[in-house]
Amino acid sequence: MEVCDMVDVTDIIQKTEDTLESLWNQFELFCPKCLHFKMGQCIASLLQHEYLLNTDCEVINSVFLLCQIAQPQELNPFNKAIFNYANRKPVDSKITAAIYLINLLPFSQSTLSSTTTQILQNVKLIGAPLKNFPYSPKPDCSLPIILDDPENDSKEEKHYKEVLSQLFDSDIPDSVFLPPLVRPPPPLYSDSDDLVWLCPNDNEYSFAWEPHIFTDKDKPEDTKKLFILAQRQALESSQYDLLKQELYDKEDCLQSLPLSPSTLPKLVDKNPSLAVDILLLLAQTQQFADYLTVLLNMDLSLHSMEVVNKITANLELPPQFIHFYIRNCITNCTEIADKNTQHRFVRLVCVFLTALIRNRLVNVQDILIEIQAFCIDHSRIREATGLFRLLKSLDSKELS
Amino acid sequence: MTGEETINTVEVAKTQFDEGRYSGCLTTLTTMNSTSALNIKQIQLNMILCSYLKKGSEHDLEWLLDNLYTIEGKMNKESEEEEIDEVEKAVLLYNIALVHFQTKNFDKAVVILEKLFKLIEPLEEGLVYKICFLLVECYLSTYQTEGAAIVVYYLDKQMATKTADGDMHKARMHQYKTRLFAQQKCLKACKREIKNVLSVSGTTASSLFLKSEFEYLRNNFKKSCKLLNSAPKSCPSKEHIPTLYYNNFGCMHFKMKKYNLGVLYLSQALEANTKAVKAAPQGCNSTMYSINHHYQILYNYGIVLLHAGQPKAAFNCLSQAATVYSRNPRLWLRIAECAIGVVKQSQENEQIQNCKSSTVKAIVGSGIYRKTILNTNFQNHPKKCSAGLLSEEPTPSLTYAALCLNNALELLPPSNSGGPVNVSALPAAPLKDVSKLRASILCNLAYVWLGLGDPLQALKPAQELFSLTAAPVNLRLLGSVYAAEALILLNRSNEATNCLAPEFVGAIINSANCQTKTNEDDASSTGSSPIPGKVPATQETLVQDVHNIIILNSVALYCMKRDLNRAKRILAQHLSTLNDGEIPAQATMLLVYIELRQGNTEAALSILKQQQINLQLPALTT
Repeated sequence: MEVCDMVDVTDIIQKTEDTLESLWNQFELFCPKCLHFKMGQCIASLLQHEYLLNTDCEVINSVFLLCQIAQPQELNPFNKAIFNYANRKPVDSKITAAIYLINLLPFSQSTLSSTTTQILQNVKLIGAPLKNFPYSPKPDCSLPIILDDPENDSKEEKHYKEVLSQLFDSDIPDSVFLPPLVRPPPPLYSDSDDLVWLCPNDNEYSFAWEPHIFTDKDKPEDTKKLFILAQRQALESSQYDLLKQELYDKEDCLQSLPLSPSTLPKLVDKNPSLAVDILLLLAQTQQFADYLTVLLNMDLSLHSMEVVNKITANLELPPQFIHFYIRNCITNCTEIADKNTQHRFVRLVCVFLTALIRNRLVNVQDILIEIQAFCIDHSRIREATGLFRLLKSLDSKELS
Repeated sequence: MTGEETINTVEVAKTQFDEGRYSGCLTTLTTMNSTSALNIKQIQLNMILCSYLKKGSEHDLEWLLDNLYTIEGKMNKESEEEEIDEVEKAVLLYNIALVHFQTKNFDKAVVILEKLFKLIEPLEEGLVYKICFLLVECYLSTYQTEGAAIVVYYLDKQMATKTADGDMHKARMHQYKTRLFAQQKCLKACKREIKNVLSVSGTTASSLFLKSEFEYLRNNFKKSCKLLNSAPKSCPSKEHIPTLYYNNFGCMHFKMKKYNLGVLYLSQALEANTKAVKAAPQGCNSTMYSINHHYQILYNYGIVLLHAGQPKAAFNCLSQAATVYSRNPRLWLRIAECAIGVVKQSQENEQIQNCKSSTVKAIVGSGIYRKTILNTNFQNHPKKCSAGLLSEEPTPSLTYAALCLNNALELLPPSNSGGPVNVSALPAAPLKDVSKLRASILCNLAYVWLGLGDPLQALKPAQELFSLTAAPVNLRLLGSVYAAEALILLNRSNEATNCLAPEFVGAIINSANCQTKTNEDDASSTGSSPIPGKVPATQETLVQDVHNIIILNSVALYCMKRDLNRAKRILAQHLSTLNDGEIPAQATMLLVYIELRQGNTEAALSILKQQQINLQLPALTT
């Protein structure tokens, strides 16, 4: 706030013979609208620190200016200051004057055309109350911050106006003295785990090589799957080829398959060639005997005979095996109830035996009797008589 | 190429890969023709690895990750059954997890590795170890001690049955166990494992740093320093030892409450880290990632700066750290503390500039017109801020502090869930007990809202705070101070009186007398050696300070309620307990107020003059 502004306003306040209207005009001349509120705060401060106003005229003018700065009165921010001043005790002439003026609100033209002195002359009653003033007080514990502190023995004297101007710097009009509350700031949070300790990490974490480069190697499940499939149905030739390739290429393929003697019959039944392949592979193993046993005891079928035939052709089998098998076949034939089936199987057995004999895979001598009997039993079947004649011819050759 | 030739080629390639001759391996793999007998994708995987790993490679980890994901996508398309897939893809998935690990995306790595760990049985032995080791490392890096313990247990069983590669793996296991026990705070077991580490691996940088950490955890700072100093300056894994060294020294000085030294060391650590990262071999940037500890050091640096009274610098550091560690509630509290610190500092600077005395602003004029003007710096004017306007950048303001504090609260488990908790607080150790943290957050929150001039918002956290029985006593008392102020501002002064009433305050102080033992332990140390140099502010002094303020504030409150007699009585009683030189400014102002209220201007002035006999008071000049 410029010094001259405040001083100018003080001048205005101290005038006695100017009309209120002209006082207002002078005020507007010296104080731009944007500073009206600030100026008002200063004037309110004058009222608050009552000893800064010495005469009734000054009071009237101050109150007047405060009212004029912001109309309508209900919205005047200085109502509190005006009200508090008007309610001061003990009531003196200044306060009575103030009340008188306030009760003239809203100011009529005649009031505005009166001079301060004229208005003062009309002030009559001491103790007259405020009427209809649009403000009611809230309990307030504030006190002024400016304390009267006269130096009685000082030689130096500053001018009153200069003191005033020094007083009204930026925030004094705004400030009141309230009972002091302290708001202590919170202490910093403390925690022993707050910080990060760093250790060098010399562990190596390296990328992994992908070993499953071969489809076959990588898919034992496929061969497994195929093998399992082979027990349920006849494989297609490509599937059979794949499996066969696997079996022959890799040593451990056979071991990885869920193969056991008990699975053999199904295999023989559905995929006799595969069974042959597997059996040939198994020939050198210890379990071969088990498989043979199972094979021997299988029910008579074209496939099982095929398998036995092929096995016998490719392997050195103990003669007991073949003999046992032949006997088995013969017995099975006899036991077949249905005539047509029996005939069929008899024919099969005969063909089988003929092949065995012709290929010299069997030593007929040991089981000659059984076979001859068999042939005689089924002499009505062409193959049987053919077999019989074959046996006879061999026999005679032997004998001769 | 026949089957047999193919097999040979693959063997050659594998050998090259194992020996680190990646360019050669790549060439070898390229010569393999594609036949139906070969898995193209698996070959591609190996080729991509080689392309990335070979010397002079221009590919970075991002490129590698993209390509690995592409292969995974292709594999997913072709497979029919899900179960078989995971085992088939095991190597690929492991490699992907490794890339995540190297880029410090530990969470992503853990997700993959946990899946693999579940399917670990049918996998080949080398891969099993790779997966397990990496998983333990990821768990330890994120303080997931339970997961780490499970895998370590599994590995122990595995290694008991097999003997191949035993020694190499054993060394690693000892190291993992050391770190695990340190994190679990099982210090005895940790000590035992450290002995094993030293005897198996010798005095490498890694083992000595581990031992140093162990001593640090027990607050044996001298021993810890010695160990760090004796450690070799380089390490086979290219970690930059000086960076770690400075960082750890910074940590130690922080614990010793020597904050300025801590700041010095940590700034050196940051510098060293930046230099080391720049000097790392370009191209194969996994080294860059693995040795780069920028954000961890920045986090440490910020916290120490805050304690050293440099909140602005601290704010900048911690805000950056929060971009990485956004789920750490402790960090958000710290950032708020920084913002509050900045605001406080600027307010204090203003006050110091404006007036030298805390009670009298100025004396104006002279002679009969001389006036004494009182200081109003107890009014705690709310900082005028553009409420509602939050800029993109974090700024050290009270509004931003409120935001941070709410973030922190969100990240805590709800307060009514009793029992032990485990709240992740990366990069540092997780929180086991959140009551202290919650108390601090609430305290700061109430303070901030009061500072922003919103007593209604301030009231709730303040009330929650003084009711929090597990909170430290001094913070609960602060809660009642803030609650009282808020209630006064809301014109509910009777409730405010209750907050400051001696019975209420006494109850809080007494309820925690059993707590004081543990709190003191907290404030000082859990170890054997005392902290040299400074005397730590114990809980008792902290509580006493707040208690004094509570008494004075209650005097003020009675003044506000026009109960001057009571105010005088309490004030006189309190002042009689203090020594003469210790009368706080607030007490002086209260005395002045009471005199003025009673109309005794002269008495008030004499009190002021008494207090300021030696001070030169500035006159206001125009």
